[in-house]
Amino acid sequence: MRMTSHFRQFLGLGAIAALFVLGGGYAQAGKKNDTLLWLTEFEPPTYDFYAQTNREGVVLAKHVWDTLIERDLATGEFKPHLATSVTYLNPTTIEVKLRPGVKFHNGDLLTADDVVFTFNWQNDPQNTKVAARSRTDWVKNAEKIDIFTARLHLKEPFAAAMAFLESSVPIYPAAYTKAQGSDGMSRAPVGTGPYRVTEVARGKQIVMERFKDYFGGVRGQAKIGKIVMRFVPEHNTQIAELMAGNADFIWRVPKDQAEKMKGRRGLNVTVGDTMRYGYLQFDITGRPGAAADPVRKLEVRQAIAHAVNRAAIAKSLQGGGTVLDLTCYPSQVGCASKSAPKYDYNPSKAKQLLAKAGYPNGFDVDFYGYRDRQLAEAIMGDLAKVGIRARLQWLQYAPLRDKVRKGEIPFNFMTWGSASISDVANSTGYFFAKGPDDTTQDAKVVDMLKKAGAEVDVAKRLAIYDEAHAVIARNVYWVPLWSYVYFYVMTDELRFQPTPDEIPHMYRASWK
Amino acid sequence: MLKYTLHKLLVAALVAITVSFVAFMLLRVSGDLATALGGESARGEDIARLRAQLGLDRPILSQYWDWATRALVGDFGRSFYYPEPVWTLLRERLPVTLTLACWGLVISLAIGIPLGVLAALRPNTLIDRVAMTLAVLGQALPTFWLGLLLIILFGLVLRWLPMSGTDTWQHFILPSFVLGYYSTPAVMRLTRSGMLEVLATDYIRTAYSKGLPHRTVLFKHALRNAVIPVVALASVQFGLMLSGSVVIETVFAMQGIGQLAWESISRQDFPVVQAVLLLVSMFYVWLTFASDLINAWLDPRIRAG
Repeated sequence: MRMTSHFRQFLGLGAIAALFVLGGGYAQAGKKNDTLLWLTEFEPPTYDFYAQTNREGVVLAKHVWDTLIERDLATGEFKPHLATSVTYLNPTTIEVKLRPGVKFHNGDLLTADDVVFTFNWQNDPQNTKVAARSRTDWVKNAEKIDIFTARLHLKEPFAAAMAFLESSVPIYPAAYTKAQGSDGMSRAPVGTGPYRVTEVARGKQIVMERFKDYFGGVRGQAKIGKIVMRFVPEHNTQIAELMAGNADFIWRVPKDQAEKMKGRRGLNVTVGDTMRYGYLQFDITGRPGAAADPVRKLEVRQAIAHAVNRAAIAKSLQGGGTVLDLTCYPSQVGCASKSAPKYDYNPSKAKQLLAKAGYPNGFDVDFYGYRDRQLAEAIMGDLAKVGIRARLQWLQYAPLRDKVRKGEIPFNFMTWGSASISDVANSTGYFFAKGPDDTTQDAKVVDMLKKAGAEVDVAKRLAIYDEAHAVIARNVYWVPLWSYVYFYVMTDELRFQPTPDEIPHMYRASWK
Repeated sequence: MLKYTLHKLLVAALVAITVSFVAFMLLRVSGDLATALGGESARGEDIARLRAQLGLDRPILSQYWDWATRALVGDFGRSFYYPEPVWTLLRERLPVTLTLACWGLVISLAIGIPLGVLAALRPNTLIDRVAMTLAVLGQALPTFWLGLLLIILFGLVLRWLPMSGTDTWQHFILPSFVLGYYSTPAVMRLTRSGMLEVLATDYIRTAYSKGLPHRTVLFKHALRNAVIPVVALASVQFGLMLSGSVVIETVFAMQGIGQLAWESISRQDFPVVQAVLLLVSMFYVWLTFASDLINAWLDPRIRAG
C-alpha cells in the first residue's frame, strides 16, 4: 500500500493523462451561484488565527479579520486600514488612531479596547493557546487612551513593527473573545473582515459570505458573494473535481499537472511568484561538526555560487521564479543593496576558484536537504560539472534544522517563507543576527542588523541593510537561489491575480 | 479451553504493550518534536516553550509511562496540532473508517467467494485463469491509481457518483470498492483451495452417490465447510482494511482515521499517531484473538496444543 512520492506522482500523472483522453464536460457553476468553490489540501487545526500557524489559517485570516495597517499590493506601501494613523511617538511607543464606525460581524463596534485586548491577550502567559508568540511579543503592553486611540509600548525599538502589524496581528473583538475563548472563536470566527464566516464544518469545509457592512479600507469591498473552502488533500482529486465543475479554484498545483491543463477549455492556469525562496547555506563557524569542511574557504563558496545555473533550474524545474542575489525576497522592505556583488553562472570561473582554494580536482562533500529533491539533484549536477561531488543526505525538516542549529551540517539546501512578513527583519535580520539559525556568526553583520532592527528612521535603516547585504554577499555566507512559484488553476470565469505573499486575496477576485 | 483462552489473552496483551512501546520509541527518535511542531516560523523561544509545555524535556521512559497509564483508561492526551483531545478526534473519525472497512469487507467477500467457487469448479481451465487474473489484479493495481481511475470514470465522465467527501452513502461506493477489491485475492484463493480440498473428500462423493442435486452438494455440503477458514481470514482482512484505508481516505478526501494518521505522521503529531497505532493494533490483536478462539472451538486439536 505504501508508495514513494515519485511513484505516486507518476501514477497520478498517468491518471490525469487518462482524464484528458476520456475528456469530460465542464460545468461552470461558480459564477451562476456567485459562489467560489475553492479546494485546498489542509484544514487549519483551529480557526482561531492566533492558535495556529497553518497556511490556510493565515489565508482565512486575511478574509475574516483586518489589521491596523495594510500593504498596498500594487505599490508595496503600508497604509492605514483599521487605523486612520499609526505613528511613532518615540522609538518604543506607537500611537494608533482607529477608524470610527467599523463593525465586527456580530455587530460590535471596533474600539481601542479591541486593539488593547488583542495584544495583551496574546502576550498573556496564561493564554496557552498561542501558537507563535513572536507575532505580538515585541509589544510589552497596549494601553487605551480614548475610545478610538490606543498606544503600543514596545519592549525595545522594533523597526519591523509596521510589517508585523500588517501581516501578523489581526484585531479580535474583545467582548466576544473574552466570552467565547479560543475554542469559541474557532467554532464561530468573528472579525471585521470582508467576509463573515457562516458555517464551519470541521473536516469538510468553511463557508464565508460577503460582509455587507464592511468598511472597505485598503482592501475594498469583496466582489464575490460567497466563498466555500473545501478540504481535499489529494491534488489529482482536486483536478478531477475542478474539471467536473465541482470546484472553481485550486492552488499549489504541481507544475507537471498544471502544465497539462494549460489550454484546456473552461480553465485558466496562472503562475505566481511567492515570497518563499531557496538558498544554499554554509556553516562557517568552525563548530565541531563542520570544522574541517572546504566550504569554510571563501573561494569554495564563490565557486559554488558561480557553478549553479539558478536561472535554468528555476525555469525548467519550477516553471518560473525570480533568481535572487540577496538573502531576502526582493519586495521585502530593506531587501536591496547597491554594492553587493552578483555571481553569474560561470563554471570555468568556478573551476579557477576551486583551484585557487587548493581543490583543483574538486572535493567530496555531504549536501543536506529536506524538500524539492529534484531541485537538489539539479544543483548537485551543476556542482559535479565543476568537480564538487556532493553526496545527498535527505532528512525531515525538524531533524535537519536541529542539525543546522547544532553546527553539524556544513552545506545544505533550505527554503524560507518569512512567515509572509514583508520586511527583511524576518529574513536577513533573522538568519544573520546570532540567533540559533545563524551559521556564520559574523560579529560585524550581527552588529549592523541589531542597529537596523532598532532604527525607526526608514532611510537610515535601509542604508544599514544595504551594507549588511553587501558584506553577506561578498563573503558568500549563503548562495540565494530563486523564489518559489505557485501554480493556480481556476475556471476561466474567475478574475484572479496572484501575489507573492502566498495568500490568494479572494476579496480582490471577481467574476468576469 | 480456559487455559488456552488465558494463554492467548496473555499473548494479545503482550503484543499490544510491545506495539505501543516500540511505536512510542520510534516516533521519538525521529527528530525534535518541538521543532517539528513549531514549524518553520517558530523562533527558538517558541520551540523551548513548546518543549516545556508538552513535557518533551522529561526522560523518555517517564513520558512513555505517563502516556501508557493514561491510555489504559482511554486518555490519549491532547493532539499537538489540533486543540481537541486525541480521543475526540478518533471518535469523530472512526465511524467513517469503520463504515469504509465494513463495506470493503462485504465487497471483498462478495467478489472473492464466488470467484473462488467458480475457479474451484473448473480448475486449470480458462475460467479458473480469468477468475484468478481478476482477483490478482485487485492486489496488483495500486489503490491510489485505481481510485483515481474510478473517480475519472464514475465521477467525471459518467457523473454517476461523487468523487470526494463523506456526505452521503453514495460517497462510500467508490472507496469501498477500491478497498474491497484490494483484499479479494486472499479471499478468492482461500475459497478456491478450500473448495478443491472439500470437493475431493469422501463425504462429497457420498453425497453425489446418494443422488443429491449438484447445487445442494455444492452450497450445503462443500461451500459451508470450505468457507470456515475464510471466516477466520475475514477477521484479519478487516484489520487490514482499517489500517489500509490511509491512501484511499486521502484520495477520496474522507475524514477517517486513515487520513488522520497520514496527516499526523507528516505533522509529527505523535499523540495522535500513537493512539491510531494502538487502536489499529488492538483491532488486529482482538480480531486475531477472536479468530483463534473460534478456530479452537471448531477444532479440538488446536486447543489440545
